[in-house]
Amino acid sequence: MKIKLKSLLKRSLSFTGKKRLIKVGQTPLEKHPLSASLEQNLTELQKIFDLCADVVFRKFTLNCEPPINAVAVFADTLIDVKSGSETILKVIMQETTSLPENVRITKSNAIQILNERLLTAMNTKITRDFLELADFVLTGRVAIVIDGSSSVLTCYVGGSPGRIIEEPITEPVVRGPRDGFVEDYKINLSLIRRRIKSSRLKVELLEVGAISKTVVALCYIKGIVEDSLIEEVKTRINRIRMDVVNGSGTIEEMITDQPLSLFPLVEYTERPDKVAGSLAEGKVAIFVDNTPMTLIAPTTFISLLQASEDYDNAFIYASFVRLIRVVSLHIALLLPAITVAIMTFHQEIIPDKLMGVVLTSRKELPFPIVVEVLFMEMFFEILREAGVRLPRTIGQSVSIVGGLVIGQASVNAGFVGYIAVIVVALTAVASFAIPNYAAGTAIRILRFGLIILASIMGGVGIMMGLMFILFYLCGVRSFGVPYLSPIAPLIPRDLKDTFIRVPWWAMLTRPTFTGTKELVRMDTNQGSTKPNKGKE
Amino acid sequence: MEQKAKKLRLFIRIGMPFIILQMLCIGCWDQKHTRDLVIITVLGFDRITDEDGVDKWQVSSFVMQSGKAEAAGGGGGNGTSEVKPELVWRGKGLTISEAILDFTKRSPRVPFFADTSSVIIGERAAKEGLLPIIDYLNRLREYRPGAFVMICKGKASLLFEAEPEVSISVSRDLRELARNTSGSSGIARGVKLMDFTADLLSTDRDPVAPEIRLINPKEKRGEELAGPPKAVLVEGIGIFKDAKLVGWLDKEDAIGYNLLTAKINEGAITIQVKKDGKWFTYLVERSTPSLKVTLIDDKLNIKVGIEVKGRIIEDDGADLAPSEIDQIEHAISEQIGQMVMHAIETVRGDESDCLGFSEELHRYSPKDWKKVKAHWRETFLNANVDVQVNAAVENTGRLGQMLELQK
Repeated sequence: MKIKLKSLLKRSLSFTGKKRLIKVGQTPLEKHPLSASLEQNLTELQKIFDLCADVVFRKFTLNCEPPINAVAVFADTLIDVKSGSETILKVIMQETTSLPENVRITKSNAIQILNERLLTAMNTKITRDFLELADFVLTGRVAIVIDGSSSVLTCYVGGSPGRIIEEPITEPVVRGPRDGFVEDYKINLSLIRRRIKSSRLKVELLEVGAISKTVVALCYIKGIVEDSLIEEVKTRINRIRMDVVNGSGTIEEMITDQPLSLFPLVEYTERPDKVAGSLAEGKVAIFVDNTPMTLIAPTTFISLLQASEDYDNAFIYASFVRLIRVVSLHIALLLPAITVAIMTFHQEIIPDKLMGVVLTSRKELPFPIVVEVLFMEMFFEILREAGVRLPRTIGQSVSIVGGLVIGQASVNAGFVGYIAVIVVALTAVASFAIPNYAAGTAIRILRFGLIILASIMGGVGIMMGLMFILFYLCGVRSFGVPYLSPIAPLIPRDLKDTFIRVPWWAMLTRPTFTGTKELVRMDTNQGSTKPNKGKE
Repeated sequence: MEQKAKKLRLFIRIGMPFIILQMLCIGCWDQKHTRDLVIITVLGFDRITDEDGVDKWQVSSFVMQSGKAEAAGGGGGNGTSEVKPELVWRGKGLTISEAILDFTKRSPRVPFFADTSSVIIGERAAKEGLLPIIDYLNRLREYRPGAFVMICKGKASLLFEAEPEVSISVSRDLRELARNTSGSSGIARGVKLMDFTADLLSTDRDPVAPEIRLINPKEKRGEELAGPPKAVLVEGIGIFKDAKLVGWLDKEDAIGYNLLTAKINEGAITIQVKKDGKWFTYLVERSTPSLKVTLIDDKLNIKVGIEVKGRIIEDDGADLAPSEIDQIEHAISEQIGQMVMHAIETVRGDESDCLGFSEELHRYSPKDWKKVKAHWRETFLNANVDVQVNAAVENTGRLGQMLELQK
């Protein structure tokens, strides 16, 4: 019965089907070597790039005796055309005369001479295979096919310009670096490399997506990160078999530990300083091409309450802000539920001075408080969603219409009470104080569940809901790291960067679960000293 | 590992049903909405003889009236002083519950006692049936241990004619008076239900409760009264013996009682002292009583020491020289000693030990307490009481030279 139901469910959601991905219209996977004839090669290439308007075949002749025909193949949308013409065509077509007397270009050594003596491009590669050639062209290289040679020279002449580096919109800071990731993973890697100038920072490139061939760069600091973690991440990424990978969200969902988890088990960020900090803690960063959102694994619940600014601000202020965040997390999760529970079950704990106000405001209202709170929460979610999707200029008018007009009017008209409006507003503000957006959404969804539980069972219901959330969080692991660490299991040493942030001179060790390999971070006794001390 | 899993499975199989069944103890069927409640803020208990000659309970109550509290208080003082934020409902019956039902039946809502901040007990009820009242209050589902118990002379029901004078409702007036009077003027002492119950049930102490009166403010503004025609005042203390009201401590005695039994940290109690035909006013800032009770040859020896510190705030034009401070301190000590002694004598005249002397003996010499336990009231009545007051004037309050007309 159970199995039948499961398979029925799976089939209706079309989870079943052929196990292996069918690659439609793909060139065969086996090796497909180039021939020595330019004509044949061109025909083959034109077949591959049939109807690809962005791939250009530029025919030219090498300036030598006898002249040799050649073709440059490139996707003109992907390369810097100006630099291409200067570094490749100009030197080939004009400056072959500057070669020494004893060097003569023939069909057989043309590639070698071009590569070693003529081309000024920094990055060149030679291939003998059509498939590889096609890949090179489609990743923005210029391929030079020369008559009489069965190998092809490809060179990188710079990519088409992308978005410039600017401050990340989703994670702004008051104090801290202003650069944010862009779509091009190479620029993103450069931002990390600038921060960690060590050969121990390793970058491994993987390719995901049969058609999209998205580059996924795995970044870690060797010696700090656990080897098993890298292996695990690589295994999980290599396990992904799909046609098109659009962004890091896809990768995140494919490699996460719990497929149905509400809480983010892999963190994402737009900030290079956050990634660099995580790498130094022994975590792994996963860059996905074409998205500024970089994944960080493993993730703990506490790291969702940490903002990169905490490490730049003075530690006392940073700790204060952390505590504020913990409080606002609880407000965002519990305040509406507690309000509902108190107003429907536990009126005894309303102070009598407040009771008069409550009684007055609730006297002539048409709906019970739970309906009011749910309605207002729903309304707020709609408002928030509308504000996110709209262009920024219209977004403001949405908040004015929604917040002022509808909020105020619905109270004045007697649809909802002041209490529901106050509670929902407080909750909304508190939920924005959680730095991690994904964690914020999880809290928001759980809040609805808790409101309903509170309306059915009051305080007992809230406790039950919290119990199950806690049960769940205790059981979840992110790449082997318990989600609630270092609180459960308790590791007192690691509490230094949880609810508070200790001063930097006391951040002596890395988090235990990711950094045991090289636990010590710095020398001890580096706290502020008076000028006359530390002289000896 | 295997065993752990087994244990877990066992827990899930046996424990979870229990947990889930417990959740059925509460559910939507327990919901009560605030608008379905009759929120009773003050209860007044009386014993009356009904027209048919049967002794009955009469319970009066203030009921929070929704919609009006805001108009008077939250409306930003828009002068709606006619609005009564509280309803007065009254009922009578053979039992207290019947009497309460007699008035709550007027509303389809459920009576709700969690906000009952004060309980007023009429004189006759306090003499005839204190225990049932206290028992009823302690048994309430929404039992409020912090409610103030008050006693009034005559009928409690008369007090429900009062109107708010300081706060926005009489219940709030009452509660604030009860809570703060012992510190602000010392003329009464608020007693919470839990303390009252504890003293009532203890074997070595009698309870007290502040007295509440109805006053008629006479101040006029133009032709009309400036305030409400009737208001409440908490002044004096009612003393009990074995769950019976037996006597009263008036204003002066109440100050004595407060100085005797409580530590005072906030200075608002003033004491008038006459010296050389001039009146001085002494403000008590700090007062610490100390009590020593010993049993010598079946006779109780009670030593009361009171350390009082304060300042002179009014001196009727007398210019106190530093050498005179000793004398005035002596006079103040004597005055306070007399007040305290008078309070003790009044209490002893009513044969009640609400001062905690016997309790002190019980606490610190339990062996001696055993000897007198059977006849502790007589022992207390025959006790030697010695009051030592040490009043200190810390500040004469003089602003340099005396204010003097120099024409």
